[in-house]
Amino acid sequence: MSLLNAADVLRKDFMDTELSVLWSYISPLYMVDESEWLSQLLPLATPSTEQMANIDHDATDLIERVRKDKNAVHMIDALLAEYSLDTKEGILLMCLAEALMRIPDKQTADALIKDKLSVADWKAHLKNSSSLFVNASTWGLLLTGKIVNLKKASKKNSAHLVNGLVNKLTEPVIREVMQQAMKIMGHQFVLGRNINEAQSNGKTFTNKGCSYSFDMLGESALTATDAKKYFDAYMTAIESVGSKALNQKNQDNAATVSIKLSALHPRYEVANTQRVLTEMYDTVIQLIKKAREVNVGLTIDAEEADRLELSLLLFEKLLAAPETKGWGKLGIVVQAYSKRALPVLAWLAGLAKQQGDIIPLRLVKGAYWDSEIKISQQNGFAAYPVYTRKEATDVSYLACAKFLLSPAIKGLIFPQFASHNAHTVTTITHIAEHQEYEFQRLHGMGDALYHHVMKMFNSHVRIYAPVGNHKDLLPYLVRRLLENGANSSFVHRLVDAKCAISELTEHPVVTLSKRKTLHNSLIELPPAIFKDRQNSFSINIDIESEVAPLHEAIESFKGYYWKAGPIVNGVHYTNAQQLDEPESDITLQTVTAPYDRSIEVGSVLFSTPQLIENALLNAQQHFLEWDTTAVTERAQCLYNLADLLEKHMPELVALCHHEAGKTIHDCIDEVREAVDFCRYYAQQATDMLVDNEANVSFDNIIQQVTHQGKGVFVCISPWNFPLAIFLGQITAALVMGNTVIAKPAEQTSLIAARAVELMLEAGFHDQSIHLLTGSGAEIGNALTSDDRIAGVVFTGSTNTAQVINRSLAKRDVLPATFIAETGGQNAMIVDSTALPEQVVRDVIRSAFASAGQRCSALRVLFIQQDIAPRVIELIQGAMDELSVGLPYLHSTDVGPVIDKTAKDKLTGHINKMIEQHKLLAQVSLSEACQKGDFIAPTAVEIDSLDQLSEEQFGPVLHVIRYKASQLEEVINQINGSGYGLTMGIHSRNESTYTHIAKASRVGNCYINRDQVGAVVGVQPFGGQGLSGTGPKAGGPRYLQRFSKQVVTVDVEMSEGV
Amino acid sequence: MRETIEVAPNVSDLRVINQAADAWLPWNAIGVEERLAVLDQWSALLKLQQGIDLLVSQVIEYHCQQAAKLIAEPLNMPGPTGESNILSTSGRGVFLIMAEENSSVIAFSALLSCALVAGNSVIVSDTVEHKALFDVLQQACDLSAVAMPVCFVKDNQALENLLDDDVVAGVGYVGDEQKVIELNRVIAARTGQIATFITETDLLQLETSRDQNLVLRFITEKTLSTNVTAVGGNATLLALGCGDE
Repeated sequence: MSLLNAADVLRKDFMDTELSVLWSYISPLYMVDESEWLSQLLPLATPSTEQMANIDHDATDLIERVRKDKNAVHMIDALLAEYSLDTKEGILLMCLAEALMRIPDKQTADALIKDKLSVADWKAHLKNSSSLFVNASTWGLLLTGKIVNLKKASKKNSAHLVNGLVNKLTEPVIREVMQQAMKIMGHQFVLGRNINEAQSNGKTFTNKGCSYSFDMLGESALTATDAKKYFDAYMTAIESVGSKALNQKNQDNAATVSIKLSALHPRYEVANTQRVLTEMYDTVIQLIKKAREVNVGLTIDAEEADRLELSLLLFEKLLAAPETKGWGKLGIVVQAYSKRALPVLAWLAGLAKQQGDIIPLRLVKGAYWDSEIKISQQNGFAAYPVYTRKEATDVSYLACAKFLLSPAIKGLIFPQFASHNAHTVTTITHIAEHQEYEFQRLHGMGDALYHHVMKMFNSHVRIYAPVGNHKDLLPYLVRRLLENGANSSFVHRLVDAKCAISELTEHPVVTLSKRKTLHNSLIELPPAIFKDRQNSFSINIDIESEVAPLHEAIESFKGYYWKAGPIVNGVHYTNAQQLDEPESDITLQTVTAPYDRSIEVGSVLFSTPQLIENALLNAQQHFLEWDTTAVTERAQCLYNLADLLEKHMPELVALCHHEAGKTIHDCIDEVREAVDFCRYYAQQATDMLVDNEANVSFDNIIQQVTHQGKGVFVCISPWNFPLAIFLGQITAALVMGNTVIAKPAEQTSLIAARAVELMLEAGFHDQSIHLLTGSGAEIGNALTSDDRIAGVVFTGSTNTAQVINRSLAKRDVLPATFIAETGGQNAMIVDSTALPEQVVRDVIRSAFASAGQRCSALRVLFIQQDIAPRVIELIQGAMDELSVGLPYLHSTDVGPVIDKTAKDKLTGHINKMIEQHKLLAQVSLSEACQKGDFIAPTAVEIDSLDQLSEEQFGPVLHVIRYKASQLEEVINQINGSGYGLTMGIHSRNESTYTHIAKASRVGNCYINRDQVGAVVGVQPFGGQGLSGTGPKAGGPRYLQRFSKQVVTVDVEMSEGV
Repeated sequence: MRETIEVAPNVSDLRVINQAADAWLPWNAIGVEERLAVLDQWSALLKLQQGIDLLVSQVIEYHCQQAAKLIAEPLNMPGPTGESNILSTSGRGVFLIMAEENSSVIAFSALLSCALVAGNSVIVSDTVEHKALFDVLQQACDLSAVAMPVCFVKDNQALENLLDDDVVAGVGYVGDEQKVIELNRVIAARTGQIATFITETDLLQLETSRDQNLVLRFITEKTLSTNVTAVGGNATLLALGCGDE
């Protein structure tokens, strides 16, 4: 339950509420129960019966006028209608539009055109539209597509006259035609290539009484250089707009400029709140000063939901600045699809009231809906920050509008309603209790609609107009197409005569109330996205209300001293007194924090030979009992463990910080992965084992097939995933009926011991799981040379895997099962169709997250030489922004490496690389790194993969340039390394990335994303060749390797066959 | 008729390994369906052969049926909307399949068929005992216009000589337990990739040959994760947002 009662916002005295109380209403609504909150919003959005009838009448009238208008179907509207997202061609068109113009080399551009045009049915779209523009475009695409197809077609087909003619066109011509077509599309959406051109082109609508808000196009800045570039562009825009007579006269329709905060700072994120509130504040204040000086209003655009609270904090500080006080032209955008929209408006009104300055506020529905849903699902949040139905967003929009148009808000907020929906616009004119508001629309969309709105309602309209060169417009263009290209889009349906007007004028309150549930049950909540198991739970540490309790619980472990040691038969040995051994034979090792070796976090007692023998003996003796325990009971232990891990997340996070040096995101992901392993393997084992199956074997014998455990498994786990891989191995072996002796990495024994304690609490038999802490070489050898061992699961280096394999083979018994997950020399291939900003974001995460200490981490980046300078420049800039330091701080991007041995090895490699090759970038280490084992993230350019002899398990990125014509050689080089763990590919060309993916001999291949963070049951993980034996952990075939098939011949039935 | 058999006994080890490695790529690339077609043809032709135990063709047929169930179709893994995750399989590389003389042709055929259908190329010894088997396989390959993915060496000793070559991705063996232990030591002594070792020592019950999931021991898996929102947007999700249950 949220603290805010929605109905209260319309109370006369509501705006007397203290600002801090209004603020406190915001965060708890971050992912409030959707149906519960909508039931509160519905009354606010519901008009009176009389209003409802009037709205319906006027909306119908408005739509009829638009449809009668010969100019109603704007060229771009028609194009959107024809090539909507539910057609393959629509998507291909967008893909082409998004990438083509940024490709520098002709070869790759031609390949992309061929890739996109040759697979679609353009002919089907011909003459569907009455728009000449659409048909002309379609002819162009059809002809171009034909040309591309012809190269594959037979001679007979090519004899066709038209085809024969167009076949004479050459590829450069096609490329030119396509570039022109893309430019035409760009012109529809972009008012001008620069601010002067935009203002000149905007005169037509200015003369009609519209005003403008100019937006300088661009993606988020990844580097300080890019941020400066955007800052300069905003400054120029403000000066230019301010110099125009219109603004100097201070008329109502003076133009404004919209700014995107993520373009002004490379680290506009909650983790860097301090930088945002200082560095970014200073930047924006400069813009405000200039804007105020030349009388140009500024509006701060809205972005992703996670940054909402941060943007409000910054806005508060900006508004209160002396440079802003008394101005009343610093505006902000609020997205109605956010569950927090209403309290945000209330708080902003409170802010305006407190300061005495009016706040211009653009209310939009929101354009990042699909990514918000995806991010929440990926992260396993409890719910979504946005509504899951379009009509729910519409209801929220109207509820917000009702509040904004109420008498109490007049003079505090100047609402600017951005909508292309005739019904929404009409409703606003009817529910307004004052007239101090305006409408906003996008340039290139809804021209006819607003032409009639202005006539019917005498409304003031502002046009939100993108300004920028064609390259920059593309991401923007795609977003607009996505937002409006869907069939449901009002823009689309408004001009579609087949769509009954009554469908368009149904009030969203009515539409939503007709639904079985107010939330959309087609979109499962993040915990329920898997049909057969619960998704692991996570906490959004960017949201104040979410992170505060977690932070407090983690803090309670500050200074805590963990004691660990072997756990055999359920007894945890943590001090020498518990052992009946001479003191000289006992080792008690002190554990220090990797980020500060002066901090002691615990101690680990090493296993003695006697304990090793006890573990072996008891594990073997208990095997039969555990194996014959019902699988459902074993699985229940895994489920219990999963719940316990979630319950103890704060302590486990603290342990991962202090023993393994993991950052907060990595710690949470670590626990989540362990939880996922438990639930996935429990479910898989139950499915596999609960029913015996009968089948007819090759010799016509009917056999009952059951599965049994194999015996005692040794699980040898690494320090880089001290909880997830540790428990993944163990739970897989246990749930299939094996007993387990776990040998954790020496560096992370505290975490392992805590995990085994939780296992015992979860119900695993004392004799089913034994933990042996201590030296890997000694314990590992004692275990793997023992005849009682039925199998070994190992994650670590290729060399150690070979040592274990040899040790097992020396025994005079049949070979043991050996599952090894080993190293890699992971590459990423980037061609010139890729979006450099996206590439760099993924490269930085893949190479440097977790200090590069992931098996999957990127080691070698192959960049097509045509875009290499830009990509490398971005990598250098993005590395400059990386924060290396104390892992428990939210602001830290890269923590320490695991120990001094790792540090020394990496340092040696980096020094050698810098000596022999070209250093591209190296992050500087701060004072905070002095006491720990830190390695500065480093990027080096090399000539060939041959220059690397082995994997470097740390934050070192090697970059190799290649020519487009050398792609096959690159693939062969990578395959030739013998390793085959992960590979990343960035390309917009489907044929190219499919070819690379097929040809590369790797276990996990990632396309157009980063290459780390495989999710259990979603991205089964494991390599081939030198990188591992398989089967893949977290995959459907993993558990089978832990069991043996037992066949019982059904004699009676077999006789009948 | 297969051509390599005449040459194989005389070629050097390296040449056979290279031959097999070359044979692996196209065989692996044709996909499970096409390999199944060749092997189905093989088992059908074997049924017509006099002097070959019917169980030989049946065991091949059995593992082909299992392969059709287990690996023919890549698996679409569930996950968040906006990404595609596909789990597919392929062969591991070059396999050596060996059997002691007069051990079990059925077991040998089980290992061989699983290795082949999974997408591996195979090196075997050119014995009289298995000659008919490979003659018929050659016919099946010819009928499907597919290059034979099998190379031959003179005898089991020649096969054993190849064990320490890093290119060998796996070994299948039919015979006795002591030999398994010895071979395992040789395989484990290598420095390259860890070879998978699949054995049949229960020559009476044919425990391994009966394993309905035997083919899974011969595969390697690949997960392909594609961010489908990178371009073209998350159309499926947008449609859901406007849908009704």
